[in-house]
Amino acid sequence: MTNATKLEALVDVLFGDQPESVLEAMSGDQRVRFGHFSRIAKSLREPREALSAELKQNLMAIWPETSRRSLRVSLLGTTRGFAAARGATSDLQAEYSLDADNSLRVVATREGEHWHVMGKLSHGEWTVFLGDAEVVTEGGRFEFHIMGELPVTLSGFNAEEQFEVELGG
Amino acid sequence: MRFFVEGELEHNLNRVRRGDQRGWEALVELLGPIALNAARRTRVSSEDAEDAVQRTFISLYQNRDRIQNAQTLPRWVAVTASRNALNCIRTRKEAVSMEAANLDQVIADTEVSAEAIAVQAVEQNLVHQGLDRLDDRCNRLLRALFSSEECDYRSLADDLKIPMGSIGPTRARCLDKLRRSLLKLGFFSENGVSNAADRALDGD
Repeated sequence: MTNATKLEALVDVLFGDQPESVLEAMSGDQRVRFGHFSRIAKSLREPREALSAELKQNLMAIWPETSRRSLRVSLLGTTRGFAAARGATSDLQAEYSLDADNSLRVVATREGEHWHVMGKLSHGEWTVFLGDAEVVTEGGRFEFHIMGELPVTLSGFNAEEQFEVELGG
Repeated sequence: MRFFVEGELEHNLNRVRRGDQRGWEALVELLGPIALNAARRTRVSSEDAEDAVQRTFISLYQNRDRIQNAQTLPRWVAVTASRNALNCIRTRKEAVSMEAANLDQVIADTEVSAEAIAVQAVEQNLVHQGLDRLDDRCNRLLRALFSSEECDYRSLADDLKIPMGSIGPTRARCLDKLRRSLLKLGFFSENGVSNAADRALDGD
C-alpha cells in the first residue's frame, strides 16, 4: 500500500466505508494517525452553535454608554460645528477647540503619491486609530503616512472626549 | 502556538481596559461562540445558555483589569459559561419541584465536569479555527461531510466541481491537512485532551 492509499483507507474507516478490521493490518503510526482523525471527527460532528444576532447585540450592549463629548471633523468640508481649512494647495489642516483645554490639530501634507499626516492632541491619555490600526502617540503627538486609498478615518478617544476626522473625504 | 491570531486577545483586552468599545466587540466575536457552546454542552435550554453567556460577559467586563494572561480568556469564558449554565439548572431545581432525581443526575453529571466541558468547547473551537484556515474546497468538503445533515455525494461533487470518484481521496487529503495543522499546535499531545487545549491556550 502506498502512503496515499493507507491515508484513504484510514479515512474510509473513519466514515464507515471500510470495517475497523482494516486497522489491524496498519502500523502503530497509522493507528495513531487514525486516533487523531477520530478526535477531529468527534469535534466536527458535535453540534456547534453560532451567536444569534440578538445574543450578539445583548453582549455588545454590556459595554457601558460613555458620556464622552464627541467631535467629528472633515478636512475637506466646512459644516457647522467644526473648523476646517485648506491651506496651501497640497496641504490640509484642521484645528478644533472643544474648550480652552481641549484641542485637536491635524495637518496632512501631500508628498507624491501619499499623505504625510501629523497631529497633536491636548492633554489626556489618548488612544488613536487610523481605520482599525492603532497609531502610536507620544505626548499626544502622532505622525504617519497614508499609502493606501482615501478617504480614511482617523479616530481616537480618552476618558472625556472622542474624535473622528475624515481625511480626504 | 495557537490559532487565534498572535496577540489579538491581549490587544483587544488592552483596548477594553482603555475604554475602547472596538476591543469589546472583537472579544465578543472571538470568545462568544466558545462561551455559548460551552454553556450548551451542559444540556441547558437555548434560552438558559444565552443567559449564561451574558452573565459570563458581564463578569468578563467587571474583571477586565484583573485578568493577567489574555491567552487564558478562551478557557476562562468556557468554564464560567458552563458554571453559569449549571447554576441555571440548580436554580430551577430549587424553584420547581420536578423530577428531582433526574435533575440531581444532570447536576452530578455536569457539575464535576465543568472544566472538562470547557476543554471540549475550546478544543472544538480550535478544530473549527483549523478548518477555517484550510483552502475553500477542503473547508466546504469537510463541513459537508461532517454536517449532521445527510450528505449527497453527487451534489457535493457538483458543488465542488470535482468528479464524484475524487471525493474519497480529496477528503483524506483535506482531513490530513487539518490534522497536521492541529499537530503543530500540540493538539494531540500524549497527555490528552485537556493538555492539548491548555497548550493552545497558554502558548508555547
